[in-house]
Amino acid sequence: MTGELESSERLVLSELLNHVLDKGLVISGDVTISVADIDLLRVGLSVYLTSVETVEARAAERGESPLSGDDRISVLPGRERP
Amino acid sequence: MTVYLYCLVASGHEPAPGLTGLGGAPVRVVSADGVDAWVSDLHDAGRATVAHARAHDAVVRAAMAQETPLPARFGQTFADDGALCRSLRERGSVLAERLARVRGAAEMTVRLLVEPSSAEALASEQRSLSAAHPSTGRAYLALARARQEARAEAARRADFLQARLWQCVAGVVREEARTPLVWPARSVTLSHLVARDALATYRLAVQRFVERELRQPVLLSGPWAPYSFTEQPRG
Repeated sequence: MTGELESSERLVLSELLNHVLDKGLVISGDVTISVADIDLLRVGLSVYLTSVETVEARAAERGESPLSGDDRISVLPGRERP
Repeated sequence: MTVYLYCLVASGHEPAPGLTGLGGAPVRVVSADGVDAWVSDLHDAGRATVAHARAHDAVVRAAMAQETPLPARFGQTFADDGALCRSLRERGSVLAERLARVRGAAEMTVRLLVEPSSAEALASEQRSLSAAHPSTGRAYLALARARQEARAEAARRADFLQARLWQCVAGVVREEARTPLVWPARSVTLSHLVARDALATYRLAVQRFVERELRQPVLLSGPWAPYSFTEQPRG
């Protein structure tokens, strides 16, 4: 259970970081994202790939449901395998 | 001291009293030519920590609760209010147009796994990488072709998924943006600008698409401020 929650939280964080750090309006200012933080983004993407597999089983049981930590994020289960 | 930018909002919307941002700094407004910038005064430049990213997002969400803002990318600072106002005035008409474009809407993001069609291609790519030093010219060409085919297959699958989903949600989506595939392309990320009063219909359409057509789970997130729709539309 703890592992699943951690995966969910990492997935939520990944989604947040991918919006806040990688997108959004850029106007002429000093953007302070460093090389280390770009690495953080890459980590976020890989977290998504592994976490979505981890939460797959639970999502299939629940149907659509928010993950822990942020009600904006859901995993929708695909159709059942034959 | 620097001025840290969270988002731009059409004039007439004030941060709630007591709203704070990075490092607990109060959020205030800098106005220029009909656009309000929500900012905080920081002693340093606002390092990219998880806590700061959450704080940035929280301020943008607070703006979103009043009116759809143009969210700024994390980490933008200005020397003082004058520098920020000059930047806003230089782009005044463009920013006003973009604010009008996102007004009353929110961003929804869908992440779809590119597999399973490309699973074999990806496995092939993995094998190619593990045999990283082909000993002959023929082996080198075979490796290059395998990589090319794997990428082409992933791109085709991503295009297919995007087109199928679009058929299901087009009626309620104002605009679509796709994040460029990053190799190895195991997922495709699609962002949709959706009127807030159509969010429930959008969710239902995505859910039906997933249940009908996909075996893999799909990550659906939102409503976000329109982070993917702050620039000019492509094409």
